[in-house]
Amino acid sequence: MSTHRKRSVSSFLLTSVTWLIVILTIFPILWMVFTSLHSNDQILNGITTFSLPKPQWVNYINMWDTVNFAVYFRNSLLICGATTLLAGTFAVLAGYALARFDFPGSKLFSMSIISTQLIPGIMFLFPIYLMFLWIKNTFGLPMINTYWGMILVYTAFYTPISIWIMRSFFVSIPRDLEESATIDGCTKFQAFYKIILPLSLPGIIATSIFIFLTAWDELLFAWVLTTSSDVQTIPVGIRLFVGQYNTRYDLLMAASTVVTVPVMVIFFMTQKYFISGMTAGAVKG
Amino acid sequence: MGLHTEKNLPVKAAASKRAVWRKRVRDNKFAYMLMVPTIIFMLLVHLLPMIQGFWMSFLKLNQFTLGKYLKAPFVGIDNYVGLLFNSDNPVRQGLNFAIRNTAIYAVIVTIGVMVMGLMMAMLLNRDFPGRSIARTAMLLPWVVPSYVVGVLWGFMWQQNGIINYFLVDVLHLYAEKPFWLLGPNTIWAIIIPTIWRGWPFLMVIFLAGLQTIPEDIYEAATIDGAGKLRQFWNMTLPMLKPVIAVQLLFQIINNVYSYNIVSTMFGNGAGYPGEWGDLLMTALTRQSFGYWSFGSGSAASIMLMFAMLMIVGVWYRAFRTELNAQ
Amino acid sequence: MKKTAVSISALLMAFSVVVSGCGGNNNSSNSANNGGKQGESSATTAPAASKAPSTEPVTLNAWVMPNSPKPDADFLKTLDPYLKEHPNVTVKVTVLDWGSAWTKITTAATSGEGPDLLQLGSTWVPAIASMGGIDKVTDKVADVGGAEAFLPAIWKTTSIAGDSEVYGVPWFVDARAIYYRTDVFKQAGVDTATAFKDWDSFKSALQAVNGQTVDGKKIAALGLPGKNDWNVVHNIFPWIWAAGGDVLSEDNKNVTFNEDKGLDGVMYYTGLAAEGLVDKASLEKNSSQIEGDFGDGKSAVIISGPWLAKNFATPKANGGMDDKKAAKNFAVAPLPAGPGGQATFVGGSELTVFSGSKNKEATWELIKYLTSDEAQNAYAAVSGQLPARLSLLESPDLDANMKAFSEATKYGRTYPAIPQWGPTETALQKHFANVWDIVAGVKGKYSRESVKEELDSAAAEVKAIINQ
Repeated sequence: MSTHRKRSVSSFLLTSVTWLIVILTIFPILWMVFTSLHSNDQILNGITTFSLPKPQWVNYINMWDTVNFAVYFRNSLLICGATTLLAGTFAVLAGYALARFDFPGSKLFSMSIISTQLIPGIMFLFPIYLMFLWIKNTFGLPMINTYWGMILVYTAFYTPISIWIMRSFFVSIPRDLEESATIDGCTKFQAFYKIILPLSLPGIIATSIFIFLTAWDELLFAWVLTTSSDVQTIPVGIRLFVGQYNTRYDLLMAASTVVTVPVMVIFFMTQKYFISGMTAGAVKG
Repeated sequence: MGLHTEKNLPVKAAASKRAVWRKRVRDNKFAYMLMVPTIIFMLLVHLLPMIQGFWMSFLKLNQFTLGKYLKAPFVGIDNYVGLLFNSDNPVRQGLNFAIRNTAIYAVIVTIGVMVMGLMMAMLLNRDFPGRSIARTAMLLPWVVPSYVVGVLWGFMWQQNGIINYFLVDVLHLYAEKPFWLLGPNTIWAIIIPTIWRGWPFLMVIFLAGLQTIPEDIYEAATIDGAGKLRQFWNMTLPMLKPVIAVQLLFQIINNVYSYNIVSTMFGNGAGYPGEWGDLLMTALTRQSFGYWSFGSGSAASIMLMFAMLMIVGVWYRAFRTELNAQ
Repeated sequence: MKKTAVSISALLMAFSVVVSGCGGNNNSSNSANNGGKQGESSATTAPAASKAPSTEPVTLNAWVMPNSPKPDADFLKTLDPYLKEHPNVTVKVTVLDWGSAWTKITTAATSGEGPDLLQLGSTWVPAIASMGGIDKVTDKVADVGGAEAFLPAIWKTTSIAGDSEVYGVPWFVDARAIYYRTDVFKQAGVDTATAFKDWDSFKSALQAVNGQTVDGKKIAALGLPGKNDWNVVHNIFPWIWAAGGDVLSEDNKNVTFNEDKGLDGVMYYTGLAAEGLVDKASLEKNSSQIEGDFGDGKSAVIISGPWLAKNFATPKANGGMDDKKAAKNFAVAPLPAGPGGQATFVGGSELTVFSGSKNKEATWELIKYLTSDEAQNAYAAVSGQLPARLSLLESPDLDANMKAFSEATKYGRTYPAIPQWGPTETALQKHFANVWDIVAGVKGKYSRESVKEELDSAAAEVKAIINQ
């Protein structure tokens, strides 16, 4: 009885601490939403009270036509979605190879993946821009200011690091699972496809979210490799609310609020895969 | 087949090394096929820029010679010498601050996001009312574009902003409202938003990692009478070690190369974050695109890459056992 | 596997050869575009003399900055009459933002692949011209009226100092003047006719209005942004000029802003903040926030450009401040004269033809239209900037506020038109930022000596840059 009460008290405490941290974490976000309902000059003056007699809802209408925000939104979803699909697939494949096979060159490959992460972004700028030009001049295939150009660059950028993330998940899955599967007559690919993939689903989703959100936030290349709003992404477009002569922090905050919504929905839908016990059951079986 | 390669190896000991090697390659055809796309990408998108950057670091590449790009005058190691030994070199003076700030920033942010991320993952792995809402809410900071993070926190850090309101008017921690965007406090003004935006990612990764730990291990431990803390140290941490090792390295790299939030918080990319806010990437970008000194910008980048390679080496030694396939 | 490796290395080799070829093309800006597609090169080589407007369909890419509330729509609206008259011309607008425009323009200039029409800040023209990124238009400027038709201060920035070639046509002008609260000055009993005459009268006027109570709130005399701004350098130089100092010596070979006169200017301006005439909280703010503070009645005087007057006429829901008390109680005055006379910063933007453009004739026609009276007036109205044409600047139709700015352009100064100005401004920005840290009291003690030390190190850095 007393241990039971002790446990429920400590559980209540932990839940309270959790919610406290959650509230502190989302406070700046709530502040952003709150800010987005002010007028531009109120924001410039600094907001220090929590009362807001007349929320300026019109910001959520004006943000769409001051800057062509719907287009940036569409481009971001398209480019980041395709990148996630491609980079995620490559990362799962290569990550599995590195986690399970000790083949000639595997160490070299792992280490060269890490060294790709050590190149400062600004060093890529000229070479990639010139490579894109070269492809266009040689094959007649335009690369600058295209969806596939952006998707290619992002896929190439985020695949290496995702391989390592995926690999670390694969490594933590006990190896005897596949071994018993192969003994049961599965081919290597079947063992991977039928046993390992479902088991590592939380890891795959986590990696996909990582790829999506990293591409979602990328500015430098989205900026340099595009020349028109037809393919530019949110990080490029959202900066246009704040020019040198015209600053619209009210619209910027409204747009930022809108941007968070679809990603929130996606995560809300996928987070059921993060429920403890799935693996445990599978291991027993 | 490949799974049993190692076990088969001793049997084949009689064959020459070369034959063994060939067989290993043949046996792992499947593994190679899985990596082909990545290798192509890495050659095209990573190797070429690296070679070009290396070459650029030996050129006198400034605004007058930029048109010639890779055919700019060759100056040998002048760019390196200028950065390392010429104390009058303005670029070098600026880099000293940037190196110090980046070291402080990277260490604190990395520890901050790892600890907070793991703690939140454990807390959110429990079953409690509203768990899925809490999990989704925790992800929000990561969704906001970092440009907006810079602008938003830039407002919040103002002397008459909301943070000072809490610290001074509500909590009375300071007698007077401090400056956060000027002077030495700047380093905190950039560290805290970075941790805030970074830990949701670690939380997701650790949460996913926790799912791969079989629950029956804990059940056995509870029967054995191990306390929660003991379970954490003896079971959770070791099981997560491969994930932690990888994230530790990538967080260090990520934070050393941090750019976006700092650059937007100060003058929307045009300003100078100050002697306590300037980071390596803002300094190198200023050098390349502000001073148009692409040659010494590349030289500094190359030196940074070698310094980071050493950190990777240390990391690899520390975690070698966790990193190698079981 | 082996096959793949071979083809990859072949691809790499082919690539590296062509890439160096790409770079080589830019050696001379004239041949850069001839390497492209043959079909299009005819437009480039067409003699400039043939004025007959072509009717072939042509798409022009324009890169402009966010100059107005709806940057791309406003730009196209200005062009509307021209496009109606020339149905064969299509204009595609890309809006750059000032913060990252540098990166993009530099990359474009290096590779020769970019827009047709390029807006450049007036201080950028010499730099991009020296890179070979934009074309000479010297023999064409007669079409738009030549040097005499434009504000001399801004025209100076269309060439590289010491060179007679012209690289761009002024589009609009941005000048700085004082905005002050007429009601506050009246309440404090300050005569606005003499208050802005010279440094002494300006300071005593500020002291008189400082701390006046308006609507129950104490108002600070002056609002000024510190280092977290995009105008750090533009904010300080007017005072150096007014003190009799200058950036560089006459021949652009020596650095002079750290000499006594320049230091006087910096000390006067930063002194206003150090002596309590400025709310120190504003040292963390940027120009927009300072303008917001003025609108909200937190400061009685600020220094800003013509766009603020437009902002005071814009409805609140559109981001303007028309509902503010300040919107009905402000006036514009020139910057006070220092020991060296009156001075203010004059900037603005120019329209240039990108050297990699394949439609240079059509681009020039577009520039001709955009700098015509009709388009200048239309664009000034939407952007709140001043037109660059003298005839329009001196026109009696200007309203009182715009007249004050037009007046200000007469004593306006610009930076030396040297190609190294970009790096110079970067260096100045860094050191002036440190000066503001000193003023705020977070980096040593504020004194003439500590400021001089910072200016001296700025000068050393600038000297290294201009002598490279």
